[in-house]
Amino acid sequence: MNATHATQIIDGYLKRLDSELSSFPTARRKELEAQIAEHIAQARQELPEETDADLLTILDRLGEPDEIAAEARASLDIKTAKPGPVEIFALLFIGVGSVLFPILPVAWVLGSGLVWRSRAWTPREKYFGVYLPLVVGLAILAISALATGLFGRHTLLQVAFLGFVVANLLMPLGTAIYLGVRLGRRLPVLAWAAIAIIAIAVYLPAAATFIPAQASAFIGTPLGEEALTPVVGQPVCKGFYGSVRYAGGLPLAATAPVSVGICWDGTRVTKTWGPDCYPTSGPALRVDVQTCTVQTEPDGSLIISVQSSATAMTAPLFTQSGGMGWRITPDGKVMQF
Amino acid sequence: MVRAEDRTGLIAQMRRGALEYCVLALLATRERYGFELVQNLAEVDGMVITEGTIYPLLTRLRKDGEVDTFWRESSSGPPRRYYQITPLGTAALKGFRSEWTRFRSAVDQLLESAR
Repeated sequence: MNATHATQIIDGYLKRLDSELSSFPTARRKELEAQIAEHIAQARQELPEETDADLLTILDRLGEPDEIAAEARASLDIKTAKPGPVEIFALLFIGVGSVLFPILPVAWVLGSGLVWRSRAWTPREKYFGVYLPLVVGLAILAISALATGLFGRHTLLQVAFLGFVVANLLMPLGTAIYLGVRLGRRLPVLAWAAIAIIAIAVYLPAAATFIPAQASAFIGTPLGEEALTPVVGQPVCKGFYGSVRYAGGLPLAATAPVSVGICWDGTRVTKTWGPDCYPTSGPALRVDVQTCTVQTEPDGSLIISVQSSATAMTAPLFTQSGGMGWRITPDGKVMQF
Repeated sequence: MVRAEDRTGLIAQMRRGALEYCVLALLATRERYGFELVQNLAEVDGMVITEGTIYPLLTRLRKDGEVDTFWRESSSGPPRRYYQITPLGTAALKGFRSEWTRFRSAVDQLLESAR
């Protein structure tokens, strides 16, 4: 006669043992699990009439799965399994994927699944590297989403966004760093180099959005500056060429240019064509122009203003927006404000 | 405090070191299956604290060639994995036995003389 909860009790124990041994080489793990299962079966045969309490005594005498695992690790000189492509992808999914796809933590969850399956991390490392951050992160996400939906006011929206950033960016990034450090030198240098290159490719555009934008403008032709002093009654017509340059000075640079055709005669500036705003995105930054306007002032000068933003191609959450304006006075001078 | 912890650690180390020769000694009399072997060890007070830790030890002895395993039919259930000592294991046990006897009497002698 089997004890009432025989299956639950024994399966539960063997499952815990299996998870403790998860970082062992398969052959060692299978052998140890078979030995323990046989031990339990043999011990049960000796019982005249087994009860749940008897089974618990058998398991109690066997010891906690983590004790058995620790002993096996020591006496069999077990190193955790050698990390390979699965671990590399896991680190990339968690550390980089969350920046690439920030709206839903899909990459993070996928990466966590890979970590969970991997034998390169110990159960303890998996707890701190998968369970804990996922639960906390998803909780923060849920609360942020709820707060936004319920209140939607400006300040609360910012709080919600902060929660979003913490949950979707900082938590996975921290997790990936922790898991990576735990792997350390077990991962070949070449693999680390590949991870570093991909991480830089993704994070560099994000970092580029923190570089202040620069603005410049001149009057002339597309080829260069060519301002002329007008004679009253004889207007001069040229082009105005302004630009807002994001991450200027870097190969990652991208610009939001504006060009307007203008004529001025010393008393007033008039527009002949434009404004033309054709943003040029760089390899790392995407530029969007929100507004691009030209407006005549009562004193005869012309106001040109451009509102634009640059977003990291690899990290949609990283964006910089800039408003830039120029005043062209009736005598053909450009002032930036 | 630290000294006491050191001492428990040392006892655990000594137990672990001696345990494998106790296993070999039991297997030297006759082959035994896992549960039986564990029972026999557990009968001696202070030798085994958690029975499950015997199995990693058996695996290591097998890997080192001091113990062999084979399967035998059981009259009351599925076949059992039996452990038996190899000539290498017998030699290891013999070496330990003489070392241990010398060590034990040396320690005993000193402990007794200082009483």
